[in-house]
Amino acid sequence: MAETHTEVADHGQGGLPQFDATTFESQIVWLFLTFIVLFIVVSRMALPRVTKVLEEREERIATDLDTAERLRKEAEEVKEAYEVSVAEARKKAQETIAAAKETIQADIAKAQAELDATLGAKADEAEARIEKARAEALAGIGEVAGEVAAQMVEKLGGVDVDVADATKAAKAALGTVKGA
Amino acid sequence: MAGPLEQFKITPIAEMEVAGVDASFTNSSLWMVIVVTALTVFLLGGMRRNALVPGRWQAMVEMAYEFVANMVKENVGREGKQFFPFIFTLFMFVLGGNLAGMLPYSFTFTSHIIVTLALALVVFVGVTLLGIAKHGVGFLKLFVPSGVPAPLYLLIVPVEVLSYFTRPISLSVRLFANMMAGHIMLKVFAGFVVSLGAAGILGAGAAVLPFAFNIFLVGLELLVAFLQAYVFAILSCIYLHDALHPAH
Repeated sequence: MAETHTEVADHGQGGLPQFDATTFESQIVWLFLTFIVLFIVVSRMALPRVTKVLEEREERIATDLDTAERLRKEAEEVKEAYEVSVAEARKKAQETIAAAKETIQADIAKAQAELDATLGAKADEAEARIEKARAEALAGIGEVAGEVAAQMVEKLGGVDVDVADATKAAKAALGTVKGA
Repeated sequence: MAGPLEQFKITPIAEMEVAGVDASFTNSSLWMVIVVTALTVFLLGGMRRNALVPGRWQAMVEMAYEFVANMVKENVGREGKQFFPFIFTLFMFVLGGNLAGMLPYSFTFTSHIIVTLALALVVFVGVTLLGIAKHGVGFLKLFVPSGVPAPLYLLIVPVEVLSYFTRPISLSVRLFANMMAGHIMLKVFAGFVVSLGAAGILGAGAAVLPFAFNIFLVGLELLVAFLQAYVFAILSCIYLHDALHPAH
């Protein structure tokens, strides 16, 4: 510290250099000069450039966000339209399926009915034919029996019997059988 | 070896006198010119490309811009926008001066009371004139806070007036004293390193301690350099706010 004192004493001021009033004028002059130069550089050149860049960036971001929002809306609209058309297509398909089902069922019913009718007719016809054949057979059986009986009598007894008589007798016999 | 106050000595480089005013170019003036030149290069160099996506340099300039812009917006409000270039210049000038002082062999012009007082007076006078121009007599409401019981005004009004007029002193002394104290400390501990180092092998071993402390001090001083520039700028913003809205 002794050294310090001698140093300061050497300069003959005996205090802080900050309180040496002889330096004030030049310090103030140069302070204002340099400060004003910096102020001009800052306010005329530096800050407007930064402001411009920041504004441009903000604008760009806002535009990008707008575009994104617009595209999102468009996508949503497309999605909605797609959903509507899918629903419509599904509805149409179901209608077509239902209609086809109805048509097919009607066709099946009709075919069934036709088939039933045909089969019924055929069965009736067959029945009629059988009945007729049976009747015919039953009708013919008397004559055959008469003939057989006449021939049997002729062969066995050697008696010639009129076929007509035999038939009549057979028929009479059959009639009783039938009646029974 | 130079004493710890030697670093604050103003030495003329070129004696000059303009219209009877001493305008000598000194080591202080030299460092003001260097700081303003460096700030100009920093600001204009960073914005030379005006890129939409900033590089590192441009990002630093933008960071400084937004830092001060937010300070002005939060402490002054919307009307503060027109004072933004001034506050920005003030902050960058003080910060530049403080940081330049951390360079070896440099001169810290913000460690001189006359420089900080001149800056503080510009702020004080400007703010006072602005307040009077904006509000006229209404500006006196600044000294009469509302919502206080009437008898207390006898006490509060003088206190408010006193605190208002000591603003330039507190503003300038805070910066000047912080810068000076820090630089004296650095110099004193650096002096210890040299004196101990000269005192033989034991002394050289002991010199490690003040040396380590000096490293810590450099970090601290860098923080103080930034902090004091910030405090200077933010207090100017608060004074501006008072001038624009005197009824608080």
